[in-house]
Formats: sequence, structure tokens, C-alpha cells
Amino acid sequence: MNQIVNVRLRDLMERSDGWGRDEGRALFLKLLQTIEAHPEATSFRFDLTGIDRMDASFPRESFVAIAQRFAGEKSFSLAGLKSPDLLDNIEAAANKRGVPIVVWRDRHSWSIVGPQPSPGLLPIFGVAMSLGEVTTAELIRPPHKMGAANNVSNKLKQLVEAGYLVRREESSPSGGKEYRYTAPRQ
Amino acid sequence: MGCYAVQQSCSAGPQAVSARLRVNPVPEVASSSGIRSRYGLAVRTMQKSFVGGIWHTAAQFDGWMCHTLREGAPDELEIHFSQDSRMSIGACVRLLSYLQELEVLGVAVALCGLSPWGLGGYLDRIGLFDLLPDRTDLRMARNTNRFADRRGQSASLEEIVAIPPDLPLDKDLPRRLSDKLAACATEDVRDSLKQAAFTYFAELIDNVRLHSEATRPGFAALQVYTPVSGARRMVEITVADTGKGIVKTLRPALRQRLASLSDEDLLLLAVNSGISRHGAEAGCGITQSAKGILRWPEPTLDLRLTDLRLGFVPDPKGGYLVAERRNAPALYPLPGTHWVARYCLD
Repeated sequence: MNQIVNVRLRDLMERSDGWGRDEGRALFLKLLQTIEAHPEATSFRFDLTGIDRMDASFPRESFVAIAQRFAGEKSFSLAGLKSPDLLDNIEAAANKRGVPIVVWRDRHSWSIVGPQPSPGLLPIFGVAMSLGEVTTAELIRPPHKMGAANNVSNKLKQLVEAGYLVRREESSPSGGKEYRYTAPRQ
Repeated sequence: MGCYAVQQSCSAGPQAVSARLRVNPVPEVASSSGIRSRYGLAVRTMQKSFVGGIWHTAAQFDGWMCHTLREGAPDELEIHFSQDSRMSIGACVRLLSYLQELEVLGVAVALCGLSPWGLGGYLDRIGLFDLLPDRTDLRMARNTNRFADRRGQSASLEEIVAIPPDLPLDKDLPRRLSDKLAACATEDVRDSLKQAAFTYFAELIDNVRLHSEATRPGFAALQVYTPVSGARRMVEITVADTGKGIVKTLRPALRQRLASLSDEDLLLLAVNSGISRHGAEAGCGITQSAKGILRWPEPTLDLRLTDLRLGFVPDPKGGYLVAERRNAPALYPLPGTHWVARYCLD
């Protein structure tokens, strides 16, 4: 359930450059097959190692389109960017599709391309990113004490709907059911 | 551009470029209903010329062609060059676009006065003569294609590449073009330039193939200009097609708010924010291409459409603003979308 699937995009591409709509759509189909081959996985990391260049249409039609399609169901992040210049086109694509994607700079530092969480949601998203998974109960207790249960629960729901977190249902220790919210993981 | 030097040599001469147009006496053509008059025009002759020894950018050359053709396409057109004419790579590609269009209209065009050196040598070097339409008459003193064995070997020039609208395209083309440019840059900016140039070529060439609805080949080329003294190196990169033009392909799909914008405002929006006929989630290609150029010193962007030409310069508030515009009827209705970007490398 908590498996993180690493997908090296270069292995699915003909060359080290990503060019245009058609090549992007070809990669989209391959990524779709990869995701369908791991039905149990909720977290995917797209590794961009080995990719030298890409235009803005390529990410828009490939991995950004995948993140949009599975928003709220599965989480996606990017790693292995060769240069910050690549990020500019990815950011434009993410903004066009309105899809947030976490980009890992190293194991512990990250940023978001695409729409940013609102200031009201950012603290909860930050805690979710540092812990990997959170529940409402955990966030209202010390050391986080992020507010009333209803308020925290509502914000977590908003983060899921906007594609920042993924929610799954589990049995709670008290015997009932509770939602666990998963952030993209390195 | 007066202080930049490329392969074009310069010699003194009173005229750089001149053109003579002739409309033949009223021709008679056979039709199914018998003999009839086709034109009913009197003989007219026009001649245009430039002062020699100056550079012609794409916009300048275009202005000259528009003036020459202001009364419509003639039956025959002679374009006379002089050896002290110098044309930027964008102007050379614009010449090709005109030749394509005049070919379609049935105008017999002759390129005159070119020698194997100077401008003639440069046009040969960039591969322009290989791409001339079938009926263009090249009147040169000596054989062309002297530089065939040097194609692809210049550090500062990528010869004109034809972009076929429907045939498979060399998938390494944007990489090759951007590598060529990056090789001229200093180490600290090389990667950044590589990515910016890749985006420019990849997006605009893709647009030629996917959106232009062109039936004839488009063109891409670049040239780095090295200063004679004291100025920055400058690059000119161009992508052009002879399709419908982006405004004509965009408009039918636009919703009411955007549809009410003028062509100029629509294009400014495309350059600064992005619009697409495929919905709000597409349309970041032109924006990203233009944005990449903004990072470099003294960037300018020139866009020529059938009945509108816009010159974009950086807006101090961000993005671009329109600094120069020219509309019909001052423009000859040259079909297509013609981009020329210029910026300094250092």
C-alpha cells in the first residue's frame, strides 16, 4: 500500500530530449501502462535523470497530464532534474493544467511547481510532507496542535481535492474508520 | 546591425538591392468559352532600390518587398542585388517565404546581380539556393553550391533547414540547433542558453507542423553575429511557415472574451500568457519560447502574419509590449507565421 514506485522517464523515451505534443502523448501512454501495472501503489516518483532538454509541450502532455488524471488518487513527484532551467517549462505546463507537483532537490528539500497551496493550507501540507502520512487526529494533538478537528479535517480534504495529498481509509485504533493522508515521498 | 560581420563581404556601390517589376501587355488566354482578356492592365514598370552597404533585417527587407508589391503581384519580378547588400538570416528566410508565395501566384521571379562572393556567397553558404522554388530564376555569374561540403560545419551558422509540413522530420533538429547556439556561449550560461534555444525551436517548429495548416515547407535557421569591435555578440534565430497564420487558426476556437480582442491584443496575450485553440490547458509553447529569450540582453521578437507585423520588446513591468506595428494595406499579404528573435549572447 505504501510502496513508492520510481519511474525513470528516460527509459521510456527515444532520446534524451522531450520534444512536443506527440512525443509527450507517447510517453503519457507508457506512463499509464506503468501505473496500471502497479494498482496497489499510491505514490510515484518520476525520475528525470538523463533528460537533457524538454520544451513546455512535452511535460504538459506526458507526466503533468498523468498527475492531473490521477489527482487525489495517487501522488506524483519529480526527482533527478539535471538543471533548474528544465524546471521552467515543467512549471509552465503544471500551471496550465492547474496541477501541483512536488519536485525533490535532494532527500529532504522540495518545492512545488504549478499552483501553490494557499497560505491557510500550507502549514498542514508542510507537516504532511515532513511526516509522509498524517491523520486529522495526529494533527490536532501535540506537538502539531493545528486547530480544531473539523477545521483540520476540512483543510486536509481541500489538499486532496487540489491534488496535493492522497487519502485512503483505514481502521482507527478505537475501532472506527479514519482517513490517512499521504504526501508525495522521496 | 551595422557593426556586425559575417561571411558577407562588403564593397562600395550605389545600390544594394533593386527590383524591377513588369506586367506584360494584356495577355490573351484560351478558355472553354473562347478567347478573352485576362488582365486588362496597361504596361507598368516599377523600380525600387536601397542605399548600398547597409544591413537588411527581416523587417526592413519585408518593408521593401511590401513597397515593391504594393499594387499587387506582377507577372514577372526581377530582384536585383548588389554586392554590398547584406541580409540577416531572418531577412534571407523572409526572401525565401516571398519566393514561395510568388511561385504559388505564378509570378516569374529572377534573382539578379548576385556574385559568388558577398551576398551571393552568403546566400549560397546558408543553403538558400537549394531551397529556391522550381521556377525561380537564379542569374549568377558562376555555379552555386560551392559550400555543400561545409554544411553543418560552421560554429556560428545553422544553414536554413526546411520543415516539411507532413513528412517525418529529423527528430534531432531542435537539439542540433540549440547545441550550435550554446557552443558559441560562455560556459556559465551554456546550459541555460541550450534549454532556452531548444524550447524556442522545438515549440515553434512543432507549431509549424501541428497548427500552421501549411502545405509548403517552413524554414528554421540561426546565425551568430560577431562584432567587429566593442559590441556584444548577437544571435538571430528564425522559424517561419507559409500557413494560415496563428490568428486565423486561433480565432475560430476562441470563446467570447478572447474573441473580442484585437489581433494585436490577442498576440500579445499569446506571447505573455499563452492561448490555444485546444483549451485553457494548452498554449504555453509560444509564451515559453518568448520568455526564454527575455533572459538575454537586448531581446527583441518580430512576428509577421499575413496582414499584421508586430515588434515586441521587453516590458519593464514584465513580459513583452508591442513597440512597433504595421498593418494592411502597408503590408503585402504574405501568408504564414514568421518569427524572428534576436538577442545578445554576452
